[in-house]
Order: sequence, then structure tokens, then C-alpha cells
Amino acid sequence: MVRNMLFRKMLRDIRKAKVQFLSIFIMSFLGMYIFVGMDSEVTGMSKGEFDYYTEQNLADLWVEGADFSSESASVVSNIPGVSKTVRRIQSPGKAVLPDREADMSINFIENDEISSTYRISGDPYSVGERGVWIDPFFAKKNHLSIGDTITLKIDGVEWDEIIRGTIYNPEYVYFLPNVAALMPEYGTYGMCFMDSAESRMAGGAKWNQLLLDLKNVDNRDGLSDQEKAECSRISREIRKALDNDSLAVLTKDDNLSYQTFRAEMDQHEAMSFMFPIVFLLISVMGIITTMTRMTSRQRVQIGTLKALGFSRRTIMLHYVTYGGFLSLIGSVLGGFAGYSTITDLIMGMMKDTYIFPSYEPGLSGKAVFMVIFEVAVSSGVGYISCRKELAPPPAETLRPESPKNLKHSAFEKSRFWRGLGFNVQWNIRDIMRNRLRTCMGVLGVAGCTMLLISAFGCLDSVNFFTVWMYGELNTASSQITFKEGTDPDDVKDYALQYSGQMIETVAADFEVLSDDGDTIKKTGTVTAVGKGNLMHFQNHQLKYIDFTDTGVAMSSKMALSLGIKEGDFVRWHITGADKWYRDRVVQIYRNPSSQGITMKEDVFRDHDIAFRPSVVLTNCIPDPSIEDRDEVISVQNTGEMMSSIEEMKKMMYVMMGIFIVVATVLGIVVLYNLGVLSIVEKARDMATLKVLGFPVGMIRWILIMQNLWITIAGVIAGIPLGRLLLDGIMADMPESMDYMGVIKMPSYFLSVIGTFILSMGISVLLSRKVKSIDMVDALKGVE
Amino acid sequence: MQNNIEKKAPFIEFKNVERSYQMGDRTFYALRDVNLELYEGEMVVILGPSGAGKSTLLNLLGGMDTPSAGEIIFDNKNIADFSDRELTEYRAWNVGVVFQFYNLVPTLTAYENVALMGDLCKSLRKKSVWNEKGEKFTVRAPEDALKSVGLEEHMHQFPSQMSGGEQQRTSIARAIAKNPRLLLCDEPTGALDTGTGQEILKLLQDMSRTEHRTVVMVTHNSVFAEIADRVIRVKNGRIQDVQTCDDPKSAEEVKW
Repeated sequence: MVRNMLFRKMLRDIRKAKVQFLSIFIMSFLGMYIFVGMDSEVTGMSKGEFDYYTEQNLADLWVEGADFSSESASVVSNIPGVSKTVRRIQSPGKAVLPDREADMSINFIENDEISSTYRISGDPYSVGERGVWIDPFFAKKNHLSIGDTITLKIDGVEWDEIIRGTIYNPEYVYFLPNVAALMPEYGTYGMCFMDSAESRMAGGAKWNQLLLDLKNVDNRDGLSDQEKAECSRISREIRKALDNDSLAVLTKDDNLSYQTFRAEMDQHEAMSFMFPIVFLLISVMGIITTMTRMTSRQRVQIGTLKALGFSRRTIMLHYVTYGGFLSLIGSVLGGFAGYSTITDLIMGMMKDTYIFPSYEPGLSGKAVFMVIFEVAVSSGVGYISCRKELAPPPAETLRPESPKNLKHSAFEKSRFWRGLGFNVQWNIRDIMRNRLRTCMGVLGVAGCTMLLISAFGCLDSVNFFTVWMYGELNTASSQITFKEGTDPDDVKDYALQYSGQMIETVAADFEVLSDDGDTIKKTGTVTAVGKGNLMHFQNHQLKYIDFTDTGVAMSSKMALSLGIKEGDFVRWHITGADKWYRDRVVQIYRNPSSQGITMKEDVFRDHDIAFRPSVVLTNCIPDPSIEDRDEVISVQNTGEMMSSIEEMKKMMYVMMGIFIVVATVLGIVVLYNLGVLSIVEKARDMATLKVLGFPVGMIRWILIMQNLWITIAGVIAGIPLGRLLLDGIMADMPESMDYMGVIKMPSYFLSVIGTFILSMGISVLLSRKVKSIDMVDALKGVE
Repeated sequence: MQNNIEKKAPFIEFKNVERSYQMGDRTFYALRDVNLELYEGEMVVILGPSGAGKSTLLNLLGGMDTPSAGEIIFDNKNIADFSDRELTEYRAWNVGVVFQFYNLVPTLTAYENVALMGDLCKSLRKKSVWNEKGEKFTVRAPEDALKSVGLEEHMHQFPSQMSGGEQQRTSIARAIAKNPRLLLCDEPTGALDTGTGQEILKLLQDMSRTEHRTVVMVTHNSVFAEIADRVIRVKNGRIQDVQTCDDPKSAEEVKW
């Protein structure tokens, strides 16, 4: 039994105003529900990532070259700061299946000490063992079992291997079949590992990679500045030691698998804070209205407690506890619920994209911090709401509050005012006298419209992306992708045969000197576009632009992050190469899928760089047999290229679902809460109107009319906010993507109609309470 | 009936007390030049018409308000100089208040309203002891306090389930639960019928007679002067007259 009488009073007060207090509880619950759900996912997965990379000793640097001898590896090992070096042959190849040839990333390893394999089933790998270890998704999708024979193919050489087991690898947490793919679809392509001795079967491929383990670089939360500096130093020393300036030395930041997962974690972390803050804001609105109203109604009770000898602090703590207590209960319960549901839900989605051996939720101190923060803010707002009644001496608080000194505004003296009907005058006065409540109503409706617009906008944007990317920017019906190192003349032959346009895309680093003297660095791509009319470019206004014969064009997002305008200069170099170039950016274009600079083939050649196209775009239908040719990696038609967007759509549907649910909850909670408050406050006035003979329908219409005004104002405010939120979501996409937030007219229409239906539904529902107002009761004393 | 005045040193002393309010350019005097002495265990009735300054006098006695000028001496200390915290402790230790409209917490039962004083006691014990005599602040068990006002049958009812008389008894039980030295009553029978009012008056008179508490009752009804040991008449913010009654009536004898 609760012994503290003030605590009992609080519980009963809460029960009496349960609708208002329930909304505070729900908001705290939902905020922490989503926060803890996402935080435990991020914490758990980041810990899993760290443990996995540490246990499997993920490489810290990758050196790529033509052929590394054991002496070269030894020289690199002796560089201070390098703890170990192993050699590897990594080659794109094929797995020859009964019905097709699937892309296969094939690895021959010297030993399994860096980026080592993680056994899922079958035999463990050890040096000198025969056979192949493949990824389990590929095995499952293609009905391959341990002991089966699989035919592999590199550069036209086919050989058979016995499957000895299935494995994961820390470099294959996220991987794509080729540069054109946007989203993973594991199982349709795969990766495999085998001993280097097996490379003889593949025609004696050469060691093209060195994997380095560094002493002063760990696997925690991305590379620190110190670690980046260490990688840079060692990269320079490697190039010097091997006497090769063009060696590509890649860090974890350049590694697709590592970097994509890190970016995803950072994005989840940022989003996890967004929801509790939004819900906390709504909760704060609820606490302000409820507690202000409550302390104002309990003014005499507060005076009595003071007169009885309760200190101001005790009374203040009592009222502060209302919001704090509910926030505490809501947050803690929400946290537990989120931990057991949301975490699993997100991890389930992550499993389709990222390959980790274990998906364990984790808990961080942030959850406790957020609970404390929520309780502190709720309590603080409670204090602000009740301090007005606490300040005066008891003698003053014991007297009923003197009525507000109301004055007629200039508007109320105008002829226009006199021409307004009673309903309109009543509502205008009510709004003027309850500005806070009205503002909260408008904010609630605006929030609801904002979320609905951005939810539908997400879907519109993905649909627009599909049309933009494959209908406007790339008008080819097919794309032929060539293997690295293919003779440019061979590619040119294909381009001639299929009337195609050649494209070369290479990774590059960009830098620019900012106004304050710092160097801003970014990584992206350099694209050289051959002659043809299949790859198009658009400016900010989505007007087609033609590239000039001098200077380069820069993608809009890259220009923004480097702070570059048309006419500015940028320094760039191809990743792995040492030579830097300086070019004037003469045009800015928008590209949704890759960021960097683009230039004509001739401009590219003017830099003394050989034009080595890796892709040919065509509107002809290529002979299917060309996919079997050694130099061709893949031939994809538009439909195949667009299929990867489906995955992205699925994610957008989830986002849209969450937004619609949140919008509905927000709308219902805020409007119902404020509506009930409004009716409670006006019960005496409405009872008076009933006594005077006003029909119930007319009184209801007064209430509905005010809500209609609030809804209209909220919707007007919500439309631009929805646009802003959508732009914010689009800006939060990974750096390489530049999505355009698009909202079509039907989406605006649906959002506005949705908000009106919700608002008016609640309004009509609440106005029914007018019928049940007891004229005698309402006209008695206030307490 | 013998009066209950024991002429020792005054228990509370008002010296030239003034309470004024500023209303725009004008100063409104609610009390002026008030000199007054109260003795332990006496029953005092403060009489006067509406707006005479009775409630202001009561508020100053109860530490619920502070004078604009003058001194209020209690246990050799001037309450007028007290800080907010000291005033709170003064109220908690020494004063019980009975209101005209009972002022019970509507969401607490009669028992719980009285048990509130237990919470107060707990919170006071945590603080430094203000009382220089080292007196221990004790509270009565809520059951005892309610029993003493004859409410043992209704102690688990909410105020809305009780009659006006029962609510006022609860209010008195709450006031006496902390054994205050000074019991202040603001029109305690103002909202009650005659029969119930008589019962309440008897209770208050008993507090003074048997428990030796100083009971100060504010009223506009001159009939109540008959039960007082002393009657203080207030008019236009000034004390008009202080009258000592040698033979006050018992509460049952008073009719109105």
C-alpha cells in the first residue's frame, strides 16, 4: 500500500484526467520504444561488428598490384607499424550452374590469418587443404551441399572443386556482383575461398593483393583521424619500399563492405534520436496544457497545503512528479518493449543486407541517459507549468483567482466584428484567450500533415528515381560491363557493333581549399563519357545539359560537400595513382547514384590518362552468347537493372508505414487531448448556453468550427514542413546518393484529406460530449 | 462556565501591525495599528462585518501572510522577519487551520486527508529543528484524530460522499492531528446548518477547554461571541474593542 498521501493524490488525479495523462505516457512510451529498439540494434550490431572484425582480423590495408612476390610481402611486413602481411589472389569469376553462370568473387589465399574465414558448416579451412569454401546463401539458393562438385571459371578457364564447407568472411559483410548493382541479392551471386595452390587449376593467377594487419589500427567505430594518418604514412612507405608510385593502397574507408555497414549504423544512430525527440515534444505539449490546467484548478488545494505547513518545495515536487512519474513509467516500459520487438524487426531487415555470424541486441548507456533526459524534461516542464501557483503566499493562493482583465481588441470594435455571427465571435474570443492550447492544436495538426506528406513523398521519390535514372539519365535498354583490364579497342568494337556509348568510371579522391584554409577531402568517382546519346545529364532544374570541351562537370552533391560553385577549381586524382590534376568546374549536374566529376572522353584523354571504358550502353539487343566471352562480366537489360530498386522500395514502404502510424498517433493524441481539455474548460459556458436554450447541435457546431479552423491552419503549416522533412530524409541518404524529394499532387491531396478526416472525426466524436454535459452539475462550484 | 484565560506572558503579541496593499496609485489598508495579545488555551472570537480585516488578521496569525509594518512576536521572535522557510515551519509546527469551505483534498478520503499530516511530519523530521525548546513534532494517528471528532464510521469516504458537517469535522481532525498550539478557524460554521454548526462549535470549545489549545475563530455572526473567553471586534481594519467574558456559554446553549 502506498503510504505517501500526496503520492496517492497524484495517482487519483491522474486517474481523473486519464485521457490527458495517458497521452503523456504513450508519447514517452513510443519515444523510448523506438529509441531503445534502434539503439540496441546499433549497439548490438556495432559490438558484433567489432568482435567479428577483431576475431577474424579484418585487414587494415589492402595493396593492389599486378603480382606480389614473397619478397615484396616481406618488405612490406618490415615497415614499422605493420604487424603482418599476407598475399591473396582475388578475381571476379563465374560459378557454372546447370541453368546459368553466376557471378562469383573468387579468392585464393596464402594463409587464413588476415580477413580470415568464419566457418558456418563443413570442414574448417587450413593451409594446403584442397577444395572450396563457399558462401552459404549461394549454396542454399543454388541447392549446393557439402561434398558436391562446383565448376568455377576465371578468364575462360573452367575447373571443378569439391565444396568442403560454407563460410562467411569479414570483407563480405556487404557485397555486390558488379559496379552497376545498387542493392545486394545474396544467393544470385556469391563468393568463395580456397587455398592458393588451387590457383594452378585456374591457370596460375598472380598474387594481386596484399592484406596488411597494422599495429595501431583497430576495428572500433570507423577510422579515427590518428588511424587515418597512420594508414597514410604506411601507404607512402609501401609505395616507396616497393618503388611503385601507382600502387593502389586502400583503407577500410575505401572498402565497400566495411564502409556501407558503418554508414548504415551511423544513419540508424542519427534516426534513433529523432523519434524520442519528436515524441518528447508532443509529450511536453501535453504536460504543459494538462499541468497548467490542473494546478490552476487546484489553486485552493495548493493554498491549503501551504497553510497546513507543507513547504513550497514539497508541493512543487508533488506536481513535478506527475509528468516525471508518467515519463519514467512510459520510458522504462517503452524501453523494454522496444528492446524485445523493434530490435528484432530491424535486425530481421538487416539480415537481408549484411552478413554477420551473430545478430545479438545490445544495450548502451544512452538508453539510461535518454530515460533520465525524458524524465528531467517532463519534470522541468511540470515545474514551469505549476510555478505560477506556487509563488504567492498561502493567503493569496487560498483566494479564487481573480478573472483575467479582458479588453476588447481593436478588431472587436470594428464594424466587421459586429457583422460576424455569434459562433464566429465566440470561437475567435476563445482562441485569443487560449492561445497556448490553440498553438498546440495547430502544431499537432501540422505535425500530422508533415508526416503524411513526407510518407507519401518517400514513395513518390523512389518512383521518380526509377523514371529519372532509367528513363531520363540513362536511356539505354542494355548495359554491357567489361572486366577490368579489357583492351580498350575490344570495348570499342562492341560499341561500334551495338551502336553503343562507352563509359569509364573510376574511384577518385577530390580536395579543395576552404575559405578558412582547411583542406576538404572527399572520395567519389571520375566518369569519362564516350561519344553517343544514351547517357544524359541534367542541371538543378532538371534541364538537359551538354558537356563542354574544356573543364569538368561536377555532381551537385559533391559540389555542395566541397563548397564548390561553377567556375571554381578542384584538385583530384584517381585512387591509387599519385598524379593530381586541377580542373575548373564548368557545370554542375545532378546524379542520383554516383558523386564526383564527369567529362567528355577527349577531356579525359587531355589529362594524359588512357580512356579504358568498362561499360557500353546500347539500345540494341546484344547477342546473349556474348556474356560467355572472357572480357564480358555481364549483360543487363533495363528491367534487370531496375530490379535492385525493388529492395530500396521495400525499405521506403517500411519508412512510409512508420510515418503514417506516427502521424495518426500524433494526430489522435494531440487533438483528442486538447479537445477534451477544451470541453472541460468550457463545460460551464456550454451548460450556460444549454440553459439559455441553445440547441445541442449548435453548441456542437461551435466546437467543430474551431477545430476546423485549427485543422486548416495546421494543414497550411504542415505542407511546407512535410516538404522540409522529405528533403531532410533525402539529404540523410549515403554520400554517394543524391535523391530528389518528390511529392506529387495526389500525395498532397491524400495527406490533406487524411489529416482532415482524422481531425474532423475526433472533433465530431468529442462534440458528442456536449449532449452529456449536466447543466446543474456544470453550473455548480468549480471544484 | 469559567473562562479559560490564564494570565501568563502572552503567547502571541501584535505590535502596531499594519497590512496594506498597493492598488495603482492608492494604498488600501486592510489592517492598521493593530495591537493584540493572545494567551495559551484561550478561545478568542474575532467579530466584524465583511471587509473589516478579520481574515487578514487570521492570515497574519497563521503565518500565511506577512505584515507591511509592525511586529508579531511569537516565542520571543518576530514572525514579520521570518523567511519563507521559517514561516512554513512556523505553520507546520504551531498552526492548525479550519476553513469555511473545509478545503479538503477531494481525491483523498477523510482518513487520507488527516494522514497527510503524517507526510508533513516526515518531511519536517528531515529538516533541522526550528523549535528552540527542542519540542518534538508529533502527529496523532489519523484514526485517533478522526475518532476525537466522531468520524470513525466515515473515515474511508471521499469528501464528495460526506455531508458538510462531516467534511468540517474532517477538516478539524486534520488541523488537530499535528497538535498545533494555535487553532485558527475561518467562519467554520458558515456553510453549515445550525445543528451541525453547534456540534462543530462544541468541538472547537473542547479543544480550548480540555486540550488547552488557543482557538481563534473568525466570524461575522455576533452570537458566537457568547462562547468566547475574549471577543475582539474589528472594523475598517482597526481593532475597535476587546472584551473579556467571565462566564462564556457552552456551545450547546448558543442559538442562531
